[in-house]
Amino acid sequence: MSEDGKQPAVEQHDEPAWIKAFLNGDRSAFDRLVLRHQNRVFSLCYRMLGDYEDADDCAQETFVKVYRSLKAFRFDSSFSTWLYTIAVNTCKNKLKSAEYRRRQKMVPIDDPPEESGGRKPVRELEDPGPTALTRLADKEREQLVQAAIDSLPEDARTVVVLRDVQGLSYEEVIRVTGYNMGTLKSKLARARMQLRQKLKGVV
Amino acid sequence: MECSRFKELFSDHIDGTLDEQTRRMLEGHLAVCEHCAEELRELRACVSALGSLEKVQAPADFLHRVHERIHRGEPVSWRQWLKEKLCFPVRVKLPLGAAGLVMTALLVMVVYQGTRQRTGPVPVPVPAQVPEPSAMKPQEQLESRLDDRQQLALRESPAPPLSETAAGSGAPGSPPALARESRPMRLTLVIGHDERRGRAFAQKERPGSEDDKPAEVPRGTSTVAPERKTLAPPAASQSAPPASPSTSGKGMISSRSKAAETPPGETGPADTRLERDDKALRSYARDKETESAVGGTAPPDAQRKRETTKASKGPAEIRMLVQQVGGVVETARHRDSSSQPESLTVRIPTASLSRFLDDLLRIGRLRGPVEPGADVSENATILVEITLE
Repeated sequence: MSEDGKQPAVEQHDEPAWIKAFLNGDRSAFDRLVLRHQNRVFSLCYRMLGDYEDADDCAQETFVKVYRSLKAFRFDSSFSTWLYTIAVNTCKNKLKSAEYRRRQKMVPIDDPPEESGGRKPVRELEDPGPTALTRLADKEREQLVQAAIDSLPEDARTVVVLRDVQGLSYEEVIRVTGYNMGTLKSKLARARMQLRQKLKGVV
Repeated sequence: MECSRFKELFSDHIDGTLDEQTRRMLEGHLAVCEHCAEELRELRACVSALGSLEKVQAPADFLHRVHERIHRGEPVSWRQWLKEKLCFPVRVKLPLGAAGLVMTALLVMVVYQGTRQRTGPVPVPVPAQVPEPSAMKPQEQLESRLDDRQQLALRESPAPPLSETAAGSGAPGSPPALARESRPMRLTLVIGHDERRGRAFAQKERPGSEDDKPAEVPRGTSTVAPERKTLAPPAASQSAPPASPSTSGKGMISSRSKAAETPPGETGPADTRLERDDKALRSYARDKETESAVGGTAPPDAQRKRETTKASKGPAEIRMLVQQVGGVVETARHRDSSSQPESLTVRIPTASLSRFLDDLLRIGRLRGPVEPGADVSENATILVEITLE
């Protein structure tokens, strides 16, 4: 990914060798894999969850899963895509368990109709206080954007984070999420429109 | 095309995935529709804001914590697991474990003591019908033959009630049931010390006069009947209901008082065994009558001989009674410088205890309290220690 999340091709070529070295008993090869991907995985988890501690926990859990299931890795896809798949699934599990706790932190800004999946708080923002919007700074704006991401449904949040935040290509998002191209484009367009509504006047 | 259809193309237009013809059509619409152009600008700014979000860095010790988590989840040997669970941190878990052990030990002791205190005598099912004397417990059999005073003495005796000495009783402080089983019933039998009254009794109940009729003896009269000629039929005595303490007269127990309790209508023909007993006792009474007729003139040697004969007849009769009920004489303790036993310890079948006591009371009288001995309601035999006077 480059600056927008793409990994340099030279680095990617090292990964199969590292994986094979790890499978042959070289535990330092696993450390190299962790050091290369830890920030990206951590960032993905943070944007998916909106909480630093939960992101830390999920990122660690992701690499623990990788450590234990690396022997099942097949080299027909890139290691980063496989890693992102594990991270996204770990975050989804975390969302299910932390949903109530996160809702406790949020205050509804309106009363949107309940969606078909039973998920009601589509448009929620973290309570910034009455004068927060008037004192917007970069950090506060980022918090609002993150809050808008957090308010998205899980599938919409996943595609937005993977595509717009992490900068993955359509093909990579398809590999990670398992959606087809039409579904991905549809979900992504709907998620962006929701964010635009939520962030009106913020960005 | 309406604006809503163009808005569906905004996302693909931002990503540059629209085909050339669709892109030109959209751009043409945006040139004339300010509202859609504004909305596209907002959407593009939103996507840009998402892409410009700060890249959150992992903590510096992220790799170290991943290692810790990996090793924490790895399977360890059960010894290491047990050690970690029980002993670490040592300052906390060792005192806690010790306190838990002490509390568990105390709890076990309290529960054990409570269980022992709650455990009472084993309930014995009581038959619905009136029990036969032979089926009664030794305590009941004995009480049915005692007057009030002796029953009182029996109850106040240091020996615990028979019901509390049942086998299996776990009352605290009680000796083991096995030791109690060997404790005999103790009684003191006086034989031949009231010869005159005994003879009078024998004459009164001589065959042909008032045989099989219970004598009208006032309550509280002590009667000794070692020479009683007529014995109550065992069947009648055994089928007679046990006398309750409230109906028993005061005074020493005697065979006459027992005979008075026997309903006259139940005195049937005696069996052959008792006929033989009667003959033996009658001959013994006739001998004594002969002795009394010449008693005043008898020389001192003859008197001593008669005393010796009397003293020797008591144990002999007891031995005979024991044999008749199918028992055995286990031990005989002798006085110093005397060939006559001072006491006899006999083992009697429990079923025959009632009959044996009846027979004993016909040749002598009881003196003092009777120690009931071990509860042998579940044993086949009972030990009876008879002290002779």
